[in-house]
Amino acid sequence: MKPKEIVIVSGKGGTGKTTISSSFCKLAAADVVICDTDVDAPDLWILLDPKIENTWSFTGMAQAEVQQDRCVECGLCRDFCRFNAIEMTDNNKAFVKPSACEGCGGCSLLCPVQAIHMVEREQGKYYFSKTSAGEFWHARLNPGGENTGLLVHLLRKEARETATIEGKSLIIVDGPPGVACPTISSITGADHVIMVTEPSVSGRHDLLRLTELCSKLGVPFSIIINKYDLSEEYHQQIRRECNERSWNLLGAIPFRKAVVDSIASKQIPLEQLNPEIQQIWDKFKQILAE
Amino acid sequence: MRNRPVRIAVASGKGGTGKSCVTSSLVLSRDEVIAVDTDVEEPNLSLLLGHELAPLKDVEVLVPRIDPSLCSACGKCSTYCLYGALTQIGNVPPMLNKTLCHNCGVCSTICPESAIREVPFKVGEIRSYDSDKLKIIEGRIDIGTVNSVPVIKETLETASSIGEMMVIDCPPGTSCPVVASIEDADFVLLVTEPTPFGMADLEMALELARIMNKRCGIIINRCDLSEGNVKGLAEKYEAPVLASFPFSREIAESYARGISPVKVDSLWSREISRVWNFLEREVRS
Repeated sequence: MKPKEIVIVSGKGGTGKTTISSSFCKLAAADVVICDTDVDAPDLWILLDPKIENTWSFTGMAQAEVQQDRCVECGLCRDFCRFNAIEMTDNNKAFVKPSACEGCGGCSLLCPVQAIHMVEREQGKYYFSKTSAGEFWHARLNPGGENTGLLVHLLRKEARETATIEGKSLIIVDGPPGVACPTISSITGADHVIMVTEPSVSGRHDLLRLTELCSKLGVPFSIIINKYDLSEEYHQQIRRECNERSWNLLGAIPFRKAVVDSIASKQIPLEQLNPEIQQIWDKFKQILAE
Repeated sequence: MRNRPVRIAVASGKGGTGKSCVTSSLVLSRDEVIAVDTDVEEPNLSLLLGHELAPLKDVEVLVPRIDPSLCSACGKCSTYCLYGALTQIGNVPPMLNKTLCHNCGVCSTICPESAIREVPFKVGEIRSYDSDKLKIIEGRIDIGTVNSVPVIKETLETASSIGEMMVIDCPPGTSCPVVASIEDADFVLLVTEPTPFGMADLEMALELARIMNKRCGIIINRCDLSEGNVKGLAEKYEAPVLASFPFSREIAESYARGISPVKVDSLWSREISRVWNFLEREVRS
């Protein structure tokens, strides 16, 4: 049977994606492959204590590099570049800022003396690891690294292959915050998205944008309200909205200092999230089976 | 003398550590600053400043439009589009996938028949609030937009044209949206929490600031919830700890209702004033 891929996202950062993902990994009782696609702030590894089996370099797209001794100082490349990635240095030679180059290759096509070449650069690393909860695909983008979407795509593909080969029925993906490139890359084509929100004016605002994105991409989703007791007003409002729009509300979890303490000691806070997390998990398994 | 307004960026690595709390507190404690929100995927600084924003302008990028009467279906554009946004099948003009397009202009430049024109395509908008006391500029991508960077750049340009000091609420993470947000910043404030997650992401953010040659300082939020070694990182990266705030249920509850910590907590107002004193010395030197 084809494994089901579940992606945990939030819109807003810091609502508890990784806390809930890690607990789900444990509840899945080893019938799971795990994947962290928050590649520029990956944290799930901290709770899973992975034994890295393999490491690969991620190069992403090639970027432009100027061979300065060939540059004739015409400035065509600088004028063409839409990303303002090319500057003329003090000696009037072209220089490409790696952090700004998007790798379109236009400059190297235009250069009249072929002084610009496209060069692959390491943008980060990705890993296959073993953990006590299951096999784990994760990555780390270099600070300022490019091509997040591509790296996310690659990790999901690898996780799907591992799950298929190992005959696991579930893939749990700990996703990134936001609604653009890495999020779109994380949820496109997934079987189900779980949104972790918090009861605040910001949490609600960000949740609504995320539901809009999922609807646009046609991915089914459910919602968990974390730290629900921090605002009774927004807790009730989000509940009401879920009800009105027939969104699956899986449940709500109160704020507990014990959860923070467990994370501080790098332990998955499963017991500290109970009894709620078990009920949420059971409800979710039902929805997934339907 | 500098010929452009000072930019203070508030970033974090990890999301949800309190960037918007710090940005809103800074903005509400000083006159003549512009509050800028470059977390264009999930902008919510204005929610904490308590003002409704009005649309100012659309952000558009250029995408190719192919004139079928001129296209010879030679396939050159799809070969040279390194993002795979143009697909050429058979003897008909190529198909465009707008979400993959990076608006680089290569296709229209290399088309031998000049069959490709570039046309504007809306990817987001800039919204603003303007009163004597407070100015807010917010960028916001349309849902479904993949690349947030053009909206971030336009937001910063719009704010910068006003000509006052800017405090920028940045997106989380350490990749291109953050690079674009702090690129021209004079000082970067990194907001963290001393949990293992906060520490790991703070180190990545400090690393980014180092690569980009930015001066930065650290603000520790919920400093009593965990015991991460922020001081160790602060020393390693020569980034001073400028303020520490304990977890407070009262602050969390008022934040939930959209009230900035500086309005409800005397420790926040005192410490944020001290941060301003530090920043004014720092950006002048």
